[in-house]
Amino acid sequence: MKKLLAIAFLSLGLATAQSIAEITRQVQANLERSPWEATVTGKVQLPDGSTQEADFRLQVIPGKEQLARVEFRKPAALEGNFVVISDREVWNYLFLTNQLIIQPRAKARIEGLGFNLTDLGDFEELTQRVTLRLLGEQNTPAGPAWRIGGAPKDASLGFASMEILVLKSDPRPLSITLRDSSNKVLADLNLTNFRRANLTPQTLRKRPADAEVLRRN
Amino acid sequence: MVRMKILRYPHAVRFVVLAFCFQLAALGFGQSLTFGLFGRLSPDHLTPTLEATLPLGELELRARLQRDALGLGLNGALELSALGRLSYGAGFSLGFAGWGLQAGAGAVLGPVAASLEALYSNTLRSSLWVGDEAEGGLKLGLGGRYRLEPRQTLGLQLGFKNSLAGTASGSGELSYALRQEKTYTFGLGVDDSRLYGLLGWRGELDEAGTLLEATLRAGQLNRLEAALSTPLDEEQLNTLKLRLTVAYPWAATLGVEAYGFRADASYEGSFSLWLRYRLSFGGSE
Repeated sequence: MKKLLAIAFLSLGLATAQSIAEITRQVQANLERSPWEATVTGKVQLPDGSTQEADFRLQVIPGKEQLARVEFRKPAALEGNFVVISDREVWNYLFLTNQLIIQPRAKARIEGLGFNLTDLGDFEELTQRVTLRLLGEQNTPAGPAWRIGGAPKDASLGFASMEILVLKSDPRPLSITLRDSSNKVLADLNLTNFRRANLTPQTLRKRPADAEVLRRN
Repeated sequence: MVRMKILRYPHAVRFVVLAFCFQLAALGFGQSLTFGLFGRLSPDHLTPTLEATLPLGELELRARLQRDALGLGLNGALELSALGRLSYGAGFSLGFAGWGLQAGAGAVLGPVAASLEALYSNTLRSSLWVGDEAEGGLKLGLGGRYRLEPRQTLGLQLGFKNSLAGTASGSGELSYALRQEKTYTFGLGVDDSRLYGLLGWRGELDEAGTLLEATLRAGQLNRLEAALSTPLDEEQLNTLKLRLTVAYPWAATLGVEAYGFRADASYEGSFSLWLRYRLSFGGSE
């Protein structure tokens, strides 16, 4: 009887493991189909401890030469700033000083707002840094969704746990919540206005022609 | 005293300058090298110029050379992603005419940007570097920008100078920028007891991203500054930049920059021309 129970638990565990792997694969395949953009809204906690309303536009060109752009609308203090992330470089534009700082991807600090938003468009990258598990299912206004929990593999990521809702009918993230070790919410963000878009690298790399370009190595 | 010692050993200075050039050439991994030729009429002055930036750990070493002076400096920065950055730097210049020191720092954090600069030289700074102004002594500058709202920004510039002759003067400028589709700037300023008003316009002229910025200061001080920047390729790797400044009493500068080439012509009592070409080694644009 004990053996049977053990086999049943093991089978259940394997099935769950396969499920999260399968969901991850489906999300990755869906988001890699074509360029897309979405609006990310919610609340984030800034490094000074204050909570701010957040409103970003996320644009992603998937594939071998993956490129992502995050444009800030809120917090108001960051409006006009943007970050462009490629495999090799991170471009960081600061509106107030009209400066574009270009850094190698390996050295750039992207997680200035607690989380690298572009990970939402690259689940493979996300699974390398976060251990994901399926928590269950949930109904959302967009339809039934998988609830996925995550724990960072590296403590330096700046959060202790995450929860992502993934739409079942069109596998893509609907929301993400990050918490610290005392379960306090660090970021609570929703992805809306998701749409496939005709994006080009030139569109995503667009910057003011008179910006001062500073390269940091 | 220092100046006298240098004048006593001009060959030694030339040797140091040449050795430094060879050292730069030998290193070969400079972030960038800029070669130039500067010429001015009355008083006649012709000199090659060389500027270099080299990564030095987390810092950047900057060097500049001309016929009769050299300058060295260190810059550093702390990047905070989209939240902002903190930058700082210091340097000195030494030449047959004298010496100079400079230090500065700048910070952008959320809605605030501020910068502070201090310079001192015991000779005209243009004697230590052809690109600097024909002023000596102490110069202090403080600049700040603050976002009232996402599309409204206040700017403040304060300056203080104490010339080599011991004459002190101050300056201040307050501006307000409103960003709609284009950016409009209004302001008031005073420079050495001369009052002026400020009007500015900045905006894109076409879908390719051609951008024009024009600033007019008029009153007891009169100066028009205009800059046109246009991308030369779809990747926006190269940009054509045109800069024009016209001032009254009559002075003017005209600058053209593209594909690493840069030409600056100016008239401020006498004509000058500075031609430069920049080589980047996977470094600064």
